[in-house]
Amino acid sequence: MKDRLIKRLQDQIKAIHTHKAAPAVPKEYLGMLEYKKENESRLIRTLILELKPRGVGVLMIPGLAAHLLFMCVRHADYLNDGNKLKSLMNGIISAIKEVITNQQESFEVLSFWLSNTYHFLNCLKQYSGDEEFMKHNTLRQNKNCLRNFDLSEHRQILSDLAINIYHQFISVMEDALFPMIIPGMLEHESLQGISSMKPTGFRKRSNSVYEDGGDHSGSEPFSVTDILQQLDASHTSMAQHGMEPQLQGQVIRQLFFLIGATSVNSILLRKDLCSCRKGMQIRCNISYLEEWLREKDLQSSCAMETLGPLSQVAWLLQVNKTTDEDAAEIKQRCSELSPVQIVKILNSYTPIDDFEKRVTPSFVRKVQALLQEREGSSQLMMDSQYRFQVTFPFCSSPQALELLQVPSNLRLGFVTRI
Amino acid sequence: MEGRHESSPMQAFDKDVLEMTVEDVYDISYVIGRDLLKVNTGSREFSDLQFKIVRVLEMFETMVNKYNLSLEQLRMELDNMKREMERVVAEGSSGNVNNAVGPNKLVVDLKDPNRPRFTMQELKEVLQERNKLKAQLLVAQEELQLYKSGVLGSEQKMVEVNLETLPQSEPAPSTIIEEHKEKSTIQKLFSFRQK
Repeated sequence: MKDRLIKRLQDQIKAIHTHKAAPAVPKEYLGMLEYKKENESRLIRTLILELKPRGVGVLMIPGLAAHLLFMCVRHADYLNDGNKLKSLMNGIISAIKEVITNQQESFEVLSFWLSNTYHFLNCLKQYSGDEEFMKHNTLRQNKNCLRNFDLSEHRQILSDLAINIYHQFISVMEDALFPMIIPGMLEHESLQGISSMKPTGFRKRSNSVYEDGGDHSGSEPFSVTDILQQLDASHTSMAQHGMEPQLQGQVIRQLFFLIGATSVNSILLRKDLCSCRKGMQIRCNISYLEEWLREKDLQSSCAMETLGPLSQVAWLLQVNKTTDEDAAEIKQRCSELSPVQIVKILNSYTPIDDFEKRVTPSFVRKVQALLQEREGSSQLMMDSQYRFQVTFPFCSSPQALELLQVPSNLRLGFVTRI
Repeated sequence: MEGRHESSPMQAFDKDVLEMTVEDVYDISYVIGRDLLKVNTGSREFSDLQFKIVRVLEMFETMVNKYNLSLEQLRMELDNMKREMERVVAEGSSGNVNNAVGPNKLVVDLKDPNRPRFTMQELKEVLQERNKLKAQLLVAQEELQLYKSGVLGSEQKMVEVNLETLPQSEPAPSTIIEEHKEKSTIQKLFSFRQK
C-alpha cells in the first residue's frame, strides 16, 4: 500500500519536471550574433581566414559566411559601440584581402570570396535603411536595419575589393582556359568525314563528335570538349558558392570574349586556318558553346554576342567569294570585322583542293571599295586582354536573419546567437 | 587549375557509402541545399528543418572523415607490418632453411613427451618447496641421530618451555608433564636403554 503511494508520488514528481522542461513558446531571435571584443580576431580567423570554401553549411546556404558576418555587424551597431563596429569592419576587409592575396592562385577561394563579398555588400545595402534598397524587404527585414551607424564608406571599400577579387578570379580562369583555345576551337578536327587532307599539325584523333577529354598530362591535344569541361568546372564552382547568377553571367561573358578574340587573332595570323573546312569546324564549335550556355541557363549573360566577330570570320571562310553579290553580302554580314581584318582573311584564304580557286585580287579590291566608308581601326588584331567593366548591382536577399542558425562545424561556439 | 571532381554532384548519391569521400558529402549538401531552397516557404518551420538537415549532414561529414582517416591509418599499419614480415622472412631464409619463425622464438613439437611444460614461476615454487622440505628433513635426521646415539635420551628431565602459555601458572605444570610424557614415548620407541 505504502509502496504504491510512493510510486504514485514519484510519477507525479516526474510529470511536473518534464512539464517544466518543455517550453511553452519557442524563443524569438533577433537575427544578430554576439561576440566578446577580445574574441574579434578569433571570429575573423574562424569565419574568414581559415574558413574552407567547401563545407556543409556554406554549400547548403548561399552566402552563409557573409550573412553571419553581417549579423555580427548588426549586433555591434545595436550596442551603439562605434569602436567595436569600426574594428570589426576593418578586420573583415583586411582579412578578406589577406585570404585572396595568400591564395591568389586558388580558384575555389577566389570564387568563394567573390561571391561572399558581393553578398556582404548586398547585406550592407539591404539593411542600411536607404529606401532604394528596401523595396523588396519584408516588414521584419526593415526592422532589422542598422540603427545607429552609416557604413556607406565601408561599402565603397568593399566594392573596390570585390572588383579586385573579380579581376584576380578572371585571370586565374583565363590562365587555365587559354592553352585550350587555339587547339580546341581551331585546330582539333572533330567533324566526321570532312577532311580528306591531314589536319593541321596534329594527327586525327577519332571520328566521334564529342571526344572524351580530360587528362592532358600526355601529348593529347585539347578539343572543344575540354573547353566545355573547363567552363563547366568554373560554372559549377560559382554556383556552389552561391554566386549571384548575374555575376556568374559577367564572368562567363568575359571568358567567352577571350575565346572569341584569341581565335580571331590566330586566324588572322595563320594561313593554314583560313580554309572553308576550318570555317565549318569553327561554326560547329560555336554552336556547342551556344548549347552549353542554354543548358546552364546563361543566355541573358550576353556571352554569345562576344563571339560575333569569330562567327563572322567562320562565315566568311565558308561563303563564296567570287561575284559582286558575294562582295555585297560580305559587307553586310561582317559588320563586326574591320576592313583590315576582312581583307587579310580574303588574302590568306587557302583552298582545300585543286578545284577551288584562291580569292582573286580584283575581288579583294571590290570588297575594299565597298568597305571604304566603314570606320575601322587600322589595327589588325583584337585586344584579347580587354576586360568588360564589372558591375555589382544591388541584389536583395530573401534570407530572414532571425532564422539563421550557426552550423556547429563552423566552430563558432564562442559566438552567441541573439 | 586545381583538381576538381569531374563528375556531376548528383553522382555522389549513387556511390557506395564505404567508398565515399568528404567531397561527396559536400556535393550532396549542395544538391540538397539547392533543392530545399526551391520549396522554401520562408517559415520558421522550414528554417528549423533546414538546419536540422545541416546538422545531420555535418555529422555525416565528420563520420566520413573519421572513417577514411582510420582506414588510411590501418592500411599504413598493415603495409608496415607486411614489409616487416617480408624483411624478417628474407633474413630467416638466408640462414636457417627450416626457420620460418621470427627472432627469439622456440619451436615445440606438441607430441614430444619431453617438451617443456612448466613456467619459470611454477618451477621456482616447486624448487623452493623442495628446499624447505629438504631442510626440515636434515633437521629431523640430525635429531634422529642424536636419539640413536643416546644424547637426547639421557636428558629426559629436560623441560621445554612453551612460551605462549608462560603467563598462566596453572596449566604450566601439566604442560610440562605432557611434554615429559611425550619425550618418554619417543624415548621408548627409539632408545635401547631402559629408563
